[in-house]
Amino acid sequence: MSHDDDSPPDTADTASLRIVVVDDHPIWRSALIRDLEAAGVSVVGEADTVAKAVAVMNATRPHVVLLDLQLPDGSGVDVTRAVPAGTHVLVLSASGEQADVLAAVKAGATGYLTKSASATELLDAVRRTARGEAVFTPALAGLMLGEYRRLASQSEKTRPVLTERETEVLRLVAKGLTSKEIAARLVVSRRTVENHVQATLRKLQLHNRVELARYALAEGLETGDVVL
Amino acid sequence: MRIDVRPTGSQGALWRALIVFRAASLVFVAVQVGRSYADYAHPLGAVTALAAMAVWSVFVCIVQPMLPVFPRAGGWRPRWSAVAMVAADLAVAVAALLATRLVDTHERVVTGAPTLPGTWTAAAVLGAAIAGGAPLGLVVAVVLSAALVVERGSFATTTTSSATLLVLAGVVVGYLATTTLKAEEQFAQVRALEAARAERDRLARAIHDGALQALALIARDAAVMDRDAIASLATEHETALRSHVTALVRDSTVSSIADVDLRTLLTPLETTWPHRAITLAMPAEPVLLTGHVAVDMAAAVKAALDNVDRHAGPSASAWVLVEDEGDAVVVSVRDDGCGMASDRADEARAVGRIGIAGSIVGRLASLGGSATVTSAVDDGVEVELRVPRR
Repeated sequence: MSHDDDSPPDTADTASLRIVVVDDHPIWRSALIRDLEAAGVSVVGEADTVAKAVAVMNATRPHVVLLDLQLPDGSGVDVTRAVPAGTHVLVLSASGEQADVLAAVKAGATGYLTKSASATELLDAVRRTARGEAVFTPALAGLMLGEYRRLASQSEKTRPVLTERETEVLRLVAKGLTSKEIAARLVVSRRTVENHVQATLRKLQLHNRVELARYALAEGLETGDVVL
Repeated sequence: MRIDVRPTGSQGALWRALIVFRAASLVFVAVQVGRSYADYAHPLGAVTALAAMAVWSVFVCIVQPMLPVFPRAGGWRPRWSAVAMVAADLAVAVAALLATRLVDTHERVVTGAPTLPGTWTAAAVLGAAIAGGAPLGLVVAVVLSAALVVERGSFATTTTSSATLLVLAGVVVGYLATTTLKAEEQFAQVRALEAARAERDRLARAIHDGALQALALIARDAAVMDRDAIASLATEHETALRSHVTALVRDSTVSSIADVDLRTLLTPLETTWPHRAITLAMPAEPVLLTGHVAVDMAAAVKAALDNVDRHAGPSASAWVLVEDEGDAVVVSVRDDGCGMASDRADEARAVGRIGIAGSIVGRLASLGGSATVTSAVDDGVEVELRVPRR
């Protein structure tokens, strides 16, 4: 989905972007920062641990956090839970961390790229994330389809359910179709496709927040100390 | 004390032997009752007792194993139900023994006429010994021996020798049952260790032939090697190593040898497929299939990708989506190549050339699944492979 953004790169937009890069490999981190700064993006902070990432985010309030999931003192999922309002999370992770990617997305991350993505793909994804768009890879769509199926097998009343159309769109994303191709195939506008994709993400994140709240409430009632 | 009854393995075999013993001794009791019919004080009472013993035997041997507290598929039954069954068996045996005094004449009883249940009482001792080993066999045998003495009203020689035989049977069979069970467990452990060792050997070979060779090559030739070549070599072996590590972690948490996670078979394709970029989309949870089904499914996916190589054109990419629908697993393989008219697959099948006919459809059919191919000119080809779970 990230390859087919045919709107020209908006340089003014790019120049005003504020980014924080969180990764524990110094070489990888400096390579990322070099690529981003070469494109005119201002990297306002960097961190190599969960603790530093949270501190840097709160101090700089960036538009986008570029986040590696494996950190020495915890998981990037913890960072995602702590992002300040107005900051979007783009997960940049090595392959083979599917469970963590899913947890990060449920916790609020709106984009996912693997570390094999090219610099162009990365910049495109950063811009789209900053605009509040969802950056989906086929891999992420596959993870979300799996998660919806897993939730569907549970009897819980509040579980999120995809409409038939949303499932169809998510499957097509997972099979590598761009939103333009999906729009052509389903004979709808690209905007509609993007909306369906956003909805699949939003439902899962909402469900996750409800679950957390319910858990907190149950724990609070048990200890006689209501958290909500 | 261990008290349990497993319907499988050595315990299951001992239980089945005990069923034969119960049936045979019941026939023996029936013959006995028939022969002494005229001598009993209450012949009808004797027949009633015989009928009760038959009913109880049927319950213990046939009905009770089918009760819902008895897990059928080789599981353990709850401890309380095994204890309850041993206790009830003992109570029935004691009652049958003491009933002799009610149906037979006093004279016959004190002169040592056969007791009403005869050897049938030993079934309670043997059952206890199988379920709880020598200690429980001994306890039940001692209780029954006491009942024998009470029934006879004295420590007559025939009574004490019967009691001795019961105690011996309880202890010996109990010891035997425990020993067999231990041997069986040790055998299972040895087999698990062997399987683990074989898996370690396989991993060692894979790492030796793969990552170690690549590292050695880089160590020797890094100075003259192309940077892209080094990078692609590293990526390829990083992925392979990662999937080995994933398999290792999963094997230590999931004990089932039979099931294989289809994802670990497909993951290496993403970076090792030689001719084009392949993108994988899969659930975060393992997609478990019976070993050979998973292997065949992965082979069908490779055949579909081979097909992409042959027909889609050099610039086409391929995507693989794995979906777990619970009662079935679906893998879609799509490319964005030149596609084909829908009759082309049939045509190709007639010519016997294309992979779709032989490797894919045939393979899936042998698994009880199906393969469907959809395509249009200039819109790539999509193969959907579906295999049911049994």
